[in-house]
Amino acid sequence: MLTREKLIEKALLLLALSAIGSLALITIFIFLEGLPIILKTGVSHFIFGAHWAPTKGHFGILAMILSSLYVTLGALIFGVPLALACAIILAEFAPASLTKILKPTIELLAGIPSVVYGFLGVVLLVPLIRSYLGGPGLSLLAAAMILGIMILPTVISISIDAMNAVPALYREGSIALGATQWQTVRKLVLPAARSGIITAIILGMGRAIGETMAVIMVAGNALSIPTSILDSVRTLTANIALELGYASGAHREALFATGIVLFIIIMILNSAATLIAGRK
Amino acid sequence: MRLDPLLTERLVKSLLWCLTGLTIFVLIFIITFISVKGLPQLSWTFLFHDIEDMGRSGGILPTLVSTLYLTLIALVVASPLGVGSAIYLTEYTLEGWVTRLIRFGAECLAGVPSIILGLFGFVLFVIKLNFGWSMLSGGLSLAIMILPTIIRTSEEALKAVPREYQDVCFSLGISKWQTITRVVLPCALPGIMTGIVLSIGRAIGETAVVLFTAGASLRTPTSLFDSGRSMAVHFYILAREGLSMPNAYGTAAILIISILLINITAYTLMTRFLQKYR
Amino acid sequence: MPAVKIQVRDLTFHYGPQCAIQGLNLDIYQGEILGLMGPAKSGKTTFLRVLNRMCDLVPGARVMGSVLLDGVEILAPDCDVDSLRRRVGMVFAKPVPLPRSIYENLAFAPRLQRQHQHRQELDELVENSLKAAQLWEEVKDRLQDSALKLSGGQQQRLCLARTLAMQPEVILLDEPTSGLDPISTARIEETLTELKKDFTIILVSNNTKQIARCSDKVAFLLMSRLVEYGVTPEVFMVPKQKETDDYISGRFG
Repeated sequence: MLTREKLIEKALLLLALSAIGSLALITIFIFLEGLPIILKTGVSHFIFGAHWAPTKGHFGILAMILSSLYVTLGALIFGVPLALACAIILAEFAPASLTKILKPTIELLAGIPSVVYGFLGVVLLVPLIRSYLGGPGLSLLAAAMILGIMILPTVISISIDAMNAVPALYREGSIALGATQWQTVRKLVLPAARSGIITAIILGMGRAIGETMAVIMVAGNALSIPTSILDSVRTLTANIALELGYASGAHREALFATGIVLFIIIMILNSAATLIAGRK
Repeated sequence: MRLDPLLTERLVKSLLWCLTGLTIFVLIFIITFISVKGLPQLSWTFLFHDIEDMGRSGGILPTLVSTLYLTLIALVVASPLGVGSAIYLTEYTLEGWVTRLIRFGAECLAGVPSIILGLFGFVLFVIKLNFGWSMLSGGLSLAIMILPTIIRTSEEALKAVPREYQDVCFSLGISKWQTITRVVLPCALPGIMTGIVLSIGRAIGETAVVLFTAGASLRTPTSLFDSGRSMAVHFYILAREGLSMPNAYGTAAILIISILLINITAYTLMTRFLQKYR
Repeated sequence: MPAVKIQVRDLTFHYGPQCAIQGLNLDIYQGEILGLMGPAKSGKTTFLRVLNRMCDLVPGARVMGSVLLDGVEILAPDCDVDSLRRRVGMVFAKPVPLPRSIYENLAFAPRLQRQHQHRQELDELVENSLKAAQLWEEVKDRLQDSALKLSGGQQQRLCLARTLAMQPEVILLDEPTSGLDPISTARIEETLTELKKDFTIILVSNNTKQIARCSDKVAFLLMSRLVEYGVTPEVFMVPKQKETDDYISGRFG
């Protein structure tokens, strides 16, 4: 019986499928455009080939995969300790009034566009690196540091939520037994909040690996496998963004193929985060 | 040798406070630096004049118009989709494979990096559907980007409305759809608006998606199919090409200030909404 | 001899695997208050919710048997539930005023009916409903105030007025005074006694004394079955079943 109410329900169902529908479309199109060239070049040649010269027909993205991974690792090394310190302080040690101001402020700062981060990196950080550490300044190090700062709001915010979710009773019990605050945090709160914190880190990792504009501006974008942190690097994302404007034919397909690899890496990371978060 | 726990505590606390201070300092520094260097640039001429000499001089009016255009299209498309999805999730189904599928879709979509969205928008809207580099292509791509945020915040807002209100409405013989539109949605509106406002902030700052779908034309767009350069894209080009540092700072300042204002609005809306229902 | 308003025959209700009502047979008369009493989980609230098909909202609900309202089967799948619920109104245990003005709380449902388009008709309806619920005198000067500012007793009377504004034929009350002070409770009981001549009222209560005070007939439900039914003074003074006697004298509750 097709009443007005039933029609409305069906219409809303259609709207609700838009999210999964878009995701499906994105997956389909990216794969449709990029898969042929991967198959033509051969999967192992594509992923493990170190030579990217699209105009000459060489489509190896190893240098970029490694650069992306190194940059992300660096971002985690810079960002996670700072973020956790901040989160522990705000969740456990700071007075509530201070946290009430600082936590929203940090979340507000998550809204700063990536191009602004990149710009500040170019204007302030890169010259510093060039003068004190040598090299061109536009480097793996610069990218790692900028990305480390960019993921701070995400990791801090989710870690604080994870720690706040630990019941007050746990802490009170521990203090009542004579433990100091830090001991309580180290032995009780952090392990209890572990899955939430890991989720935060993985999400930060996802953000770092998917970041494009800031990285383009400070990483140098050279096409070689980095051997030192002062080397100029080009990530997967930078590769796509730099060449998409003028690529055509097989070259363009190869950029979509790069997108596929990136997409897969990020889907793996997100699924890992969801799994760990669900396994509380 | 085990350190005295109280001493450890003091050492650790000092270390943590230092690191926290460093973090906060860095974040605040970013805003202050841009503001200090960029605010002096903001003048009536800067905001409302055309771009001249590829951006080396003149104002940024075309970018303001493009940004507004793109954001508007994104909102018009994503809001009904997002709020409708949220209504379906909260009111019309129980937890089951359908809701899990929809939520999975929304969460995965949220994790798609902007460059991939740019690629997708490029191949679907610009090329296959033949919209070309245009406000339409850019707006639609941005809509996909902000859809998960709107779904998530709308769902939370709808869930916060007490179930009893619906029982009351049903017992008075009011139909489900009338209950939703006349009672539940109005109550959830501040929460929903928060999500929409937050999305505006994200759309304004987005570069990778827009660059490859809306292009970087210097002209002021007048129709859906015109190409145009958003503020963020303009800033990126100015910065990379080194065309004009003062203008770059000015554009950055306007970007940051609008986004901060938008996020503060969203945040105050959300706190007021939560106060009503907790 | 009052007319039979609602006829219940062999009513059985399941929530998933659990049985909430078993083989219930009952006649409910026009112009009377039927009191429903019994310990918790005996099926009283479930029975009320069957009468206005609010039971449909619970997943896994299965109902069998027959319930006739004025001779028409309300359990039929093609029954218009929205219009049924306008004829059979309900007041819940906890007063739930909507976050609107007092006037709006009463007017918004009738307005959606589009029967009362003129402002004047709506005003009259609001006034009459508030008077019938004995709330008019207290709020007539502040109809635009938020309903959330009223006291608990006033809010419950508002909910009653809201139900009356739909001009129902039957009023279901699910422990309406359970959270209220004695004075508010007394006022509501007074109101019900006034209203019964124009409506059919079914009152569920955990308070046996309230049932004894207010109702004309009483049904005693125990563990999903109807144990006893009769005229109130008779049931209370000379109960026919031992369980009834035990319940009334407080041997279990």
